Parts: sequence; structure tokens; C-alpha cells
Amino acid sequence: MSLTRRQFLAAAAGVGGAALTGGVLADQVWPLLGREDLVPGRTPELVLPRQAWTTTPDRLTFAAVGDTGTGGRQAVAVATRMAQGYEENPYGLVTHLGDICYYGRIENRFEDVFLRPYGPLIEAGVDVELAIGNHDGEVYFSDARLDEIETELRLLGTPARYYRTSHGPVDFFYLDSSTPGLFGPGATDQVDWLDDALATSTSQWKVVCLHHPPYSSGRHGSTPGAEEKLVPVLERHAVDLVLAGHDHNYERTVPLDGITYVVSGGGAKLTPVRPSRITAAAASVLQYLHVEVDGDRLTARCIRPDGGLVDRFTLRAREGR
Amino acid sequence: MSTRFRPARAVREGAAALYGLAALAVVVAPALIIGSTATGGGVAPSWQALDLLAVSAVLGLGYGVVCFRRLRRQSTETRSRPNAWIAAAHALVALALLSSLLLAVVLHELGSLQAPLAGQEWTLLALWGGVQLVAIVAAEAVERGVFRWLVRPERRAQAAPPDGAATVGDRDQRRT
Repeated sequence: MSLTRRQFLAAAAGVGGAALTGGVLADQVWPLLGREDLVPGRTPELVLPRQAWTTTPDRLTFAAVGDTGTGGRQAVAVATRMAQGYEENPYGLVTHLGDICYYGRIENRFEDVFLRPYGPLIEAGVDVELAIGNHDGEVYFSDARLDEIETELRLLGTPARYYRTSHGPVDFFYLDSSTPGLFGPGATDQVDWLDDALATSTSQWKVVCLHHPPYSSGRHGSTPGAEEKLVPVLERHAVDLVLAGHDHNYERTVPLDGITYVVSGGGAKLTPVRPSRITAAAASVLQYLHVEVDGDRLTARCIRPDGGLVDRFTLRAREGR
Repeated sequence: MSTRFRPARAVREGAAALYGLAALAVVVAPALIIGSTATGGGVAPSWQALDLLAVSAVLGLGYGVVCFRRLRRQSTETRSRPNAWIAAAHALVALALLSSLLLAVVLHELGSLQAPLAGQEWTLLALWGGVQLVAIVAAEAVERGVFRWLVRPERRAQAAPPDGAATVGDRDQRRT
């Protein structure tokens, strides 16, 4: 069978188009559909008992989650599981590890990304404390980005860009790791502040929360400069736990000089994680961290939206605390 | 009715059926990817989560059947067979690209409308189905456009008189 000139041209264009389309789909579009969380999620309909948690000087239960800002089905699935986790074991605090809003500005999307998914927890009176993420103002500042962050802090009632709170036996230290050069040679204000704040902390447990992980085996990896600038301060003051997001997965390191580093960034999206030599547990899953502190014992469980347990670990308080 | 087995015809019909299945597959691909990502990430499978897949499956199945029947019919005509398959291949490429790309773009651009979309489930399903229908219509337009372009020389030749025969214009000129 011989082809006419037109048939030959059309067939060649078809083969070229198929190859190009296959490449675009396999490299860009299908991974994007899998990686992002674009389909709107149904509003959770749980009604939770108000302020059902118990916090005492030696007991605290809290949840840690990051990178939740899609408002999509996966984000709502995680938020719904967090609400169900509250039903089973109530907590009064969510430490949000940054990136509360994707795909637009927080003023326009606050209901979509926060009030609607987390409605049951907000109605129950749960407090949310935020560590600012790069999508909460992007890495490079402009007046518009600063406005964005200020708006976010106002909406959440967060006191400052970096701050300290105390709940029961735990002191939390929130950093704004989106600040340009936080881990670079120039900007030391925040690290100096952390140094002073940790030095004056007398609580049994010290937990540092920030968006960019000092150590990570995920897609973004360990944050450059953090090991040199931040980690020595954390080690000097014997911090117990560092919670971070940014990489959309779960990872827990083995204790590094007594400090356990956790990435809990599976609040809505997924990216792969490849365990490294410092990894104790890792999974590319949607998840949040449910943490119970009881005296000198801290127990954390990483929970998937279907209720499955990804990881469980226990820390003991440092000697002398 | 002849009961004799015709291998060439069976191959042609099998190929048309495979094409129909391919059309179905590229239409349901986005819903499958989104569903499998969520399930793999730890979201419990549920009937409710299959809504997008159901919409895509209905559209993809309908279009797949249309493609199968058309290709089966066109494949019986020896002269138009290559044209039909080349046009169908172009349509499949367009369908594969648009059914996924349009959804990604539209869902991303409508990020600020999530609350109303999530509040009324049918609006989300209508949006999803509507976007995929646009992709199917575009693929159909590509198929018809390419097919017409390919058969145009044949049709011109058919419209022209046989060699040596006088055209209407020639006859008119002779009359004058």
C-alpha cells in the first residue's frame, strides 16, 4: 500500500504529535494531576465537643501538620482525620508547619483552605499556631508578599512572624524560615532571638517549629545553611523535637545529637521521599502527627487519612528536666 | 448470511475496538490518576470518591463506541482506510492531551471557587464532565478536519470529468 503525499505528511505529523503529547503528558500533566490536589473537597460535617481536651502542667496533646493549603479533597481528607483524631483523643492545639494557602491569595482563599476543612476543629475551639511557609509569602519579599503574610498572621491571630508559646509542659518556638537569608551569613536576628528564647525556657520539653526542614530526604531536601546556622543553637539548648514541613511527605530522623527531626508535610499534596542514612521512618503519604506529652514521655503517631498508622515513636525527657 | 471467517475483517474490527478502548482510557486517565494518588496517599477508597471516574467513564465509553463504529465502517472501504486511521490517530492524540490538560488548567484557575464547587456536588461533576466534553468535541473536530483534508484530492478528482470529456464550460465555449 502506497501513501499519497498528504497521507504521508499527516502520518508524520501524527507520529510527531503523539511523541510530543506523550512526553508532555508523562512528564508534566499527569504528574501535576497526581502531585497537586486540585479537586475541591467536600466540607467535613463532623460536630466535635467543644474544648474536650485536658492540658495540665505535665500533660499536653497536640497535632502537627503542614502544607495543607489546597482546599482539595486530599486536604479535606487529612483535616477530617484530624477531626476524628480529636474525637478519639482531644487536643487543643494544632501547630501548623506552614504553607496554609496555595493557588491564590489568603484573603480570597481563607475559607477554602482553612475555615472549611478545619471548621469542626475551629468550632471546637482548637487553637492554631503557624510557622510561616514559603507559600505564605514566597521566599523573595515584596510589599505585596509582606501584606500577604501580615494578612495571614492577622487572620490566624498569630502574634508575630517568629514567636514563642507555652502549653502545659511544652515550650514551642516558631520560626519564620521564609525570611531571606535566615540560614545565610547575613540574617542572624531570628537565630539570635531563638538562642535567647531557648536559653530562658524552663519547660520540660522544647519543640521548635519551622517550615523549611533542617534535615530532609524528600524532594526539596535539607535546607541549605540550616545545619551550620540553626542546628548548633538547637543542640546547645538541647531541643527535643524539631517539626517542619515543606516536603510533602512524612519523615523522622534518628536522634541527631539528641534531637529528633520530623517532616510532617503531607497535609494535602504528595511528593516522593527516599530514605537516607539519617532516616528512621519515611513515607510518601498524606498524614498528620498526633502528639501526646505525659510527664517525661512524648509519644507521637503519624496517622493517614484512612486512620492507618504510618509511624509511632516515643521520646524521653532530657536528664535534669 | 455468510458464516465464513474472514481474518482481515476480524483484524480490522479488533483494531477498531482497540482504538475505542484507547479513547476510553485517555478520557478516564485523569480521574484514575487523581483517585489512585489519593488512595496511595492513604485516603480510604469509597464509592463517593468514584464520582469523577463515573462521569469520565460514561463520556469515554460513549465516545469510544462512536469511534469504534465509525472506524469499523470506514475500514470496510479500501480507499478511505488509511485516511480514516490517520485521522483517528490525530484525534486520539488531541483527546489524550486535551482531556488531561484542560482539566488541570481549569481546576487550577478555579482555585478561588472551591467552596461553591464543593458545596454543590453537581456543579463539580458538571464542570468535570463539561471540560471533558469540550476535549471530546475538539478531538472530533480534529478527526473530521484531518479526514476532510486527506480526502479532498480524491473528491476533487471525482468531481472532475473523465479524461477527454468536455466540461460544461468547454461546451458553452463551443456553442459560442
